[in-house]
Amino acid sequence: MSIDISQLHDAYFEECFECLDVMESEIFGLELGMADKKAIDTVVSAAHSIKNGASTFSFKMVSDFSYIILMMLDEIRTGQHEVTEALTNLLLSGVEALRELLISVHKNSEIDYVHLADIRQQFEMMMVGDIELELFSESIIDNKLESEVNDAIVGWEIDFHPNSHFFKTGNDLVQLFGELENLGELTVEVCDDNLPPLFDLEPEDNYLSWKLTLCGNIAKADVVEIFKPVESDCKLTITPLIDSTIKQVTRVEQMVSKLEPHGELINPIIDIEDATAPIDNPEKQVTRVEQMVSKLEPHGELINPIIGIEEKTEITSQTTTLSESTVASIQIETDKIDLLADMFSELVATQSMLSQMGENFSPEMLPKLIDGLAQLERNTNEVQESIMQIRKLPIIDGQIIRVANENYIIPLISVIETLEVKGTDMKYVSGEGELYKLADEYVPVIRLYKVFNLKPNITDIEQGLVVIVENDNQKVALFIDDLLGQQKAVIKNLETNYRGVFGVSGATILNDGMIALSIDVAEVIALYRDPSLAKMAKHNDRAA
Amino acid sequence: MTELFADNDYLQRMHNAEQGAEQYLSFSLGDEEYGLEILRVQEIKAWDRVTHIPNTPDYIVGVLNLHGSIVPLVDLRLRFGMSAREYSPTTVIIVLNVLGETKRNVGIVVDTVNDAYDVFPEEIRACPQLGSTIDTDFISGLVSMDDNMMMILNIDRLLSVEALG
Repeated sequence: MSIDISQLHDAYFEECFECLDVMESEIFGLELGMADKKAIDTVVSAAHSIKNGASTFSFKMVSDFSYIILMMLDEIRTGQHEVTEALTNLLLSGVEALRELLISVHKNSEIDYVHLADIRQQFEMMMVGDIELELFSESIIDNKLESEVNDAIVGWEIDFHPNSHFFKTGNDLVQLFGELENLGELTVEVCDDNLPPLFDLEPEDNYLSWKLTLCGNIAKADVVEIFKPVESDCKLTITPLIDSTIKQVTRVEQMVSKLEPHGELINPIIDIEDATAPIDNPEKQVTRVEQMVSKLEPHGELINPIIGIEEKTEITSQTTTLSESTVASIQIETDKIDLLADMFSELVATQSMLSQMGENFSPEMLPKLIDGLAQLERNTNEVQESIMQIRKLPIIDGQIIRVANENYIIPLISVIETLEVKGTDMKYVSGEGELYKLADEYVPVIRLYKVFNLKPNITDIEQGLVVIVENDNQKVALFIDDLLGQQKAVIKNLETNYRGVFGVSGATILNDGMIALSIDVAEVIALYRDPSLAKMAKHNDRAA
Repeated sequence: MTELFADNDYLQRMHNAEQGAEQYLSFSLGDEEYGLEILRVQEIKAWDRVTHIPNTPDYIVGVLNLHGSIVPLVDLRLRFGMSAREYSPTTVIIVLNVLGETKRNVGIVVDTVNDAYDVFPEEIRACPQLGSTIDTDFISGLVSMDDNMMMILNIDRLLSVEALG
């Protein structure tokens, strides 16, 4: 049989309050000047018992907060501080805050994080050594999150299975449900699956069970209390109803709040961009980062675990002059964002450590400072690299087309329209090839299977389609077999494992796992005019 | 030699490796047997649909999706001027790590994969001028077997960017 550790909680809290009393009276008794070692030792041992007990029961806040007081006491004991009025006041307010914290934990009520953080900061300012406190600030955040998860409980789901003799013992179901209704919004669903045929039915027996949903900010204990009188006559399971929105948002909030302990999220990033590296367009980079960050912030909207990040795709020379830019939304998995968030938090931690060091600078800290700066630089580079990796992915909105059993993808940005062609709209010019009458102009028809030297399935222009594309103010009609879907595509270059191919800007993996080559409209036009270009191996200069 | 090839004789292999033997993967094209350093093999997989690359030599079968990267595929039969053979699910693709200016992945299409052999450096003989269709530049040596001969390919040359055309 396992021991219910919570039975020991009361004893622990009782001991804690005794310890706090001891601490308080000893601190009161301290005389100004050098600290009385014996008195300090008594305070330390009392604080230790609180901390150790807290660790045993995993009251992390309590153990962390008493740890802070212990660190301070340790500094006093080793003679780094003289006892002053300010110091005793600080210690007393620390003890008081610890008492309040213990009461909150004991009664399971709201913890005043702001106050605790305030006291903690006062200790920090008073103390000589301070680096390890970073740990503490994180634990405050983590604890806060836990309590937010508790906030996410929006009610209780109760599976209520009364025994067959439930009504024989005089239990009143209506009264029971009525009491529940007083707590919050109650939905009752009856389950009559076990109801026997009428002739087998024992009139005084119960065959029913109920599924109750109780919504509202209700303590579980209150619900249990109501069922206490009927406890022995039923089977009961109570499960919390969690607001799924909150649950998922919490994760994101955790990331954001990890980023935010110092209040200045965006600035350090901008500093990075300014300080380092040859970026072609720093201003643009910064907006990108800001965009990303601002995407992280709206708490209510991040239900989808994949976070959409707006990516301004860059338009290279081969695309039209019509639109200078397009906004494509790419999907970045949360773990990538997590990684980024982790990097940022490390960056912020290092930065704050350095600034703390700077405040109480002494020459012997110099090596540490140098290490810290090197660390900062490494972190900065990491962040920058990973942002650049996201930035670098050339994403296009693509139209998938089919030509002679092969799929290709055309950047949507160069597509004007797709048409079925009537033979009467065609004009044939000897030596010039085919022209298609589009409104009041004639555009050359490029048969893709020809420029790509594929074995055609369709050669009759009326059976296929033409895609009107534009490049450099010039329109051409690409003759294709069929149009397939549209999709966003990450274009990978062929040069990584092979070489560049004329007419093709890269390759993308379609949703079905197959590869489609992406068509470079400008190069296809060039290829159409001069087929010998196909023989030229394309060089790597265009590759990213 | 035979005793060295005792199948799956793990201890023997360990011993051979200590003595300086290297493992080679052998495969067949028609009646000919070829070998390549086994450490260069990234993956062996069955034939899968590939995407054709326009305006490339016929032995460039296309590109295939290998865990998200775009890997070109070379049909060694066609590369060596042999007759083409229909691709089927039993056709084998060996994906290799090719070293050049950069490390690249290139797949080769072969008829069958045979076995892994321990070969001591002194057993590899220089390649005579064969006068065959195969450019001897691509063969780094010959190893004679019982009644056959294994040609060891220099894949870095054979599959270099320039040689792939």
